[in-house]
Formats: sequence, C-alpha cells, structure tokens
Amino acid sequence: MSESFNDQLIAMLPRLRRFARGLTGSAASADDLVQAACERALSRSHQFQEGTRFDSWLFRIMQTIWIDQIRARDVRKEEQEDAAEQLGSDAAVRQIEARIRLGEVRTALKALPPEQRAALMLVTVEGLSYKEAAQIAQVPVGTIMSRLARARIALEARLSTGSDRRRSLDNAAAN
Amino acid sequence: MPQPTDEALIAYLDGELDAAQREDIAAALDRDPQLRERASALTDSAALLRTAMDEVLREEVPQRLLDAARGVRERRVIDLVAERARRMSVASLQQQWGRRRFWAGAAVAASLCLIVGAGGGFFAAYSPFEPPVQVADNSGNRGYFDNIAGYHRLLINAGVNEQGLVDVPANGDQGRKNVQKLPANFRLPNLKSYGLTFDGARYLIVEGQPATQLFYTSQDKKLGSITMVVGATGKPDLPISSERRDDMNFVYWRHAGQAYAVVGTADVNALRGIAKEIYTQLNAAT
Repeated sequence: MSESFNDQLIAMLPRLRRFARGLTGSAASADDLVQAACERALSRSHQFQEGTRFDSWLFRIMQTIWIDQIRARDVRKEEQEDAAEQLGSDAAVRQIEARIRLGEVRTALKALPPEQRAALMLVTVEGLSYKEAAQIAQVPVGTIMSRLARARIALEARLSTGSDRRRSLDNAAAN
Repeated sequence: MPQPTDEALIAYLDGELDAAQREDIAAALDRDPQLRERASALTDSAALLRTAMDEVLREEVPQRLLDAARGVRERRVIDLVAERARRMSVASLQQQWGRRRFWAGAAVAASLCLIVGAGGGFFAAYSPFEPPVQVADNSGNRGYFDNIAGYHRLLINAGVNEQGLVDVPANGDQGRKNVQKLPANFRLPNLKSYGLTFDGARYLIVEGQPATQLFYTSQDKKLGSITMVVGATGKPDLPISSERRDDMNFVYWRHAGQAYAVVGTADVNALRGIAKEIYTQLNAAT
C-alpha cells in the first residue's frame, strides 16, 4: 500500500464522514459506513485510476456499500416512517422547536428518500457536478437532476414549515 | 415564454445550464418576483444544508477510522501475533495445543461475534511462559464500548462475506482448517448449546490495541448478534455485570487478570447466559 494512498484516504476522512452522516442520518452508523468504505478502498486500491478524482471514487464506494446495506436491511421504509413520525407528532414538533435551525436541516435531510439524500449530498454539499454525481450514483444525468430537484423542493418545504410553526408558537407565546 | 420548471430553476442555481438556458431563466427571474422569491428560498435552504453538514468537518475523527484508513489493522495485529509466536516455547505450544478444541460450521441467519484481545485475553490466560501484553481495561469507558459497538455494527451491516473484512473465514468444510490459522494459543469457546456456529474471524484494533473478532451464526433470530472483548487488566475480579447503551446490551466481567465484555442487541438475560457459558469454559480449561 503506497503511503500517499493512505495519506489521501486520511485527508478525506472528514469529508467521508460528512457524506456518510448525510446518507445515514446517524453519527454511529455514519462512522461504521466510513470504516467499511476505508477497508474496501484499501482492499481495492489497485482499481483506483491515477488522474481520476479520488473523492468521487471513494464516494462511489461508500454509496455502493450504503445501498447494499439498505437492500439488506430494508431500512428505507423504517427510516421514512421514523422521520414522518418525528415531523408529525406533537412531541416531535416540540422537540424540533427546541432544536437549533441546523438540527432542523439534518432532520429534514433524513426524511428524504435515500436516493434524493445522496444526490443532495453529492451536489449541494460536496459540490460535485451533475455529471460527476451521476457517475457515482450510476444513473443518467437527468435522473440526478430530477432527484436533486425533488430533494431541494422537499427540503425547502420542510424548512419553511418548520419556520412557520416556530413563528406561530412565538406569536402564541407573545399573545 | 413558459415559467421555468423547478428542475430548470435549480439547475440554473447550480450553474448546470448552458448559456441560452441561463439567459431564459435570468429573464424569467427579472420579470417574476415570485420566482425570485422561490429561487432565494431554494438558495437559502441549500446554504443552510451546507452549514449544517459542515459541522461534521470540524469534529475530531475517531481513532478507529484513522486506523482503518492507515490499514493499521492487519499490520499491527499480525506483527504482534508473529512476534508472540516466535517467542513462545515449544513446550508451551504443545501444552496449549492439548487443551484446544476447535469447532466450526455453516453460516446461517443471525450471528454472534466475539472480539478477543490479541495482546492479552486468551493468549495471556493460556500462556504461562509469556508475560501478558498490557491492554488497557476499558470496561467502564464509553469510548471503548462505542468502538466495540461500531465494529459489531460494521460486521452486521457488511456481513461476513464482505471482501476484506474477514481475515479467517470458516466456511463449510474449511472451517476447522481456517480456525487453526488463529494465533497459536487461542481457544475458541464452544457455544453450540446456544445454537451458535463459528463463522469466521477478523483481526482488528480496539482502542489502539490488537484484537481478534470472531463471528458466530445462529438460527435464533432473537439472539441477533453479539460481540465479546477480552483484554488484560490490573484491576480486581468483577462479577458478571450488565449495562445498556443505546440499542445494545453489554455484559462484562473481570477474572484472573482479564477483562471481558459481551455485546449485542439480544436480550440481556440471553447475553448473560452466554457470558456464563464462556466464563465456565475458560475457567474449566485453566
């Protein structure tokens, strides 16, 4: 294993953790995913082509592992139900009201379907182009475009709803 | 001219449109204040998302991930095992070979994982000619439990068939042979009475110390997955105790200079039963 490969991998750890956190919505699961991605990357380092983007290669490895996990455990439905429950119940609303704005964003992100979450993380957070994101997700650019649009609209709608709820509660408290 | 679609508007904001398309969207934005408001809201929510996720970049990266990125898992553990084997006398090897019982079987639905400290644990317990390599006793340390839980979840998520994860597979008829690749004085607890079958092993680092993780599988879905950690300790004996952290139960004890932990999502009483079985088997062998 070349020293530079390990060094590059270490340098990428913060971004890998961020991407994983966005995909899984959980710190513990995210770090597990990063670890699995590191180990797979090391075992397949010979497959990395010099001159191509190292971050994209790693994101693709991570996304593949994550999709395999979702398929294996069928967590997608469970996660969506959890998110819906969190956003819909009075207790959850109170919890959201108590959170800072950034917590709302992460909650909203977690509520998105996995493929939209991945598109949002790759393009909006990681700053990849639609084409690069499409290569990582192994789908056409048009698919990334539509997933991203749905994700951005849903995210904005959820955040707007959160703001409206907070304003209503603030007004009620003021009166 | 028709109103731009959401897809087109977002692609415009992301800089993904060609010049002609950009001009069209820009013109639409000029004449439509509601569209401008919509674009502004989408821009703001995207910026908020980046800010929220950027917090992760400022967090300290866990040691286990640095180790994983360095590939230190294989190198450190295998070096240590090889060194111990070189230093071990023939007499002690023969003595310990006489004690060992190996056992393996086919993979089934659920799994049991054991992590055994390579620097101490069973090596030290069954190696009277070797001073134990000191492994920190972390029984009360949250980071230690979190790391074990992390390795445990990783294996559950990835599965024992994941390439690169399992160092010593135990599949089918090769099981017995593969188990013998484990360090010389290692003794595998026989948990057949719980319907558990050995399904492979993995060398790793736990809290900076080498360890061996063993996988067992079971037909019993309620049992789920379990992890056990063994390491040398200077602390006095501790009876079998239990603790719950998040979705996992931890059963731990200390005996004769070794600290043990059994971890899993199974019912705590089931874990206690397995822990007692391991305790009994290990004591019977000394």
